[in-house]
Amino acid sequence: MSGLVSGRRGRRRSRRQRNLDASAEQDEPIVLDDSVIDDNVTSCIDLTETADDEFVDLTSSQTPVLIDDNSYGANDSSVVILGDLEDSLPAHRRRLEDRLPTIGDSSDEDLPVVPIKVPKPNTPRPNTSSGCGSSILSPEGNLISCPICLDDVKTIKKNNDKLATVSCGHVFCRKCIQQAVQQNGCCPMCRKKLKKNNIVVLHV
Amino acid sequence: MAAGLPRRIIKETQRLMQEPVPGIVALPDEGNARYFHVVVAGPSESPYESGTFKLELFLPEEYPMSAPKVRFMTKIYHPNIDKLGRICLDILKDKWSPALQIRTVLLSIQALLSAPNPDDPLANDVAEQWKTNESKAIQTAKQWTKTYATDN
Repeated sequence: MSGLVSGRRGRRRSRRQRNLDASAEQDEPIVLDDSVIDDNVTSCIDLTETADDEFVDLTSSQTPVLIDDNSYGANDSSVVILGDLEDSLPAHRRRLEDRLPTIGDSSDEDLPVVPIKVPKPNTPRPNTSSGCGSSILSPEGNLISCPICLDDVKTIKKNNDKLATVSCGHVFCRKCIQQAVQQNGCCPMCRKKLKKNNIVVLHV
Repeated sequence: MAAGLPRRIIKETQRLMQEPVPGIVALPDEGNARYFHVVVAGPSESPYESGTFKLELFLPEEYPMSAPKVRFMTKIYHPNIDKLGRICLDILKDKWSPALQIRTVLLSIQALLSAPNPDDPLANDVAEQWKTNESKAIQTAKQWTKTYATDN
């Protein structure tokens, strides 16, 4: 085996070799078998080995950063950082109210010194296995509530109901918006015409 | 108190007490939590300035899916309010939304006092006067405010 062959390829080759060895206990027709086996096996091995070999730990900074890699689905993509250190927190993830106090400051150089508020315990949640963290906040930082029954999200969940939205983006509890759409055929917030199938239940 | 009073009504009532709207008082009736005694101050720079207007507000069984019933108890000279105190206001009729509340309704009524709309009249004679001789109509409105809406 050539010394120039990379480790991965080398392994692949050696595995192929093993396969060859295994099937080589039979006679000549191996050549045909080999091409078939080779293709299948190679592609199989490639997938798993590549994943192993080329994994790059994006989180390997010196600062302790928690990555919640299990509970978020594919939609939430790769980097969900739950650390509270300002430089590990992407700017767009910082809540508005965290940034506001810095606006009035004299210079931008002061930014790192300004204590960034640690996200409240109920903001990003490390344990979302149930998918029901009661942490849906309005832009003002209050718990989101249904503008019709005025119940907040905790109470809505306690009553076995869910939040729901409609095509204009306004949020209600499911029960209220269903009733309102049935009765008035429009959004209670902006009067956009709505039908029942415009209601989307939010599984938050 | 009604036994099955919806949480929404309780919440609205509590908030009206804790954070009252400036210029508006709304108190639930002792015997009927769906019936409110309301006092609205006449908006400044309107013919109703310095008057205090009594209204009654009732939350029907279907509230908030249907609008509250509101009526002026104090006599008022206004093109959109008739002699029985009934109010011509779209959000109390076809433009009602369950996302509106007692406080938003009363604020809208207060705004209606600041901006009479004689093109959509309820009291036809008043509206007519408003369109033909606005200054005289405003004078009458001021006079009525003084007569009926002061010290009551």
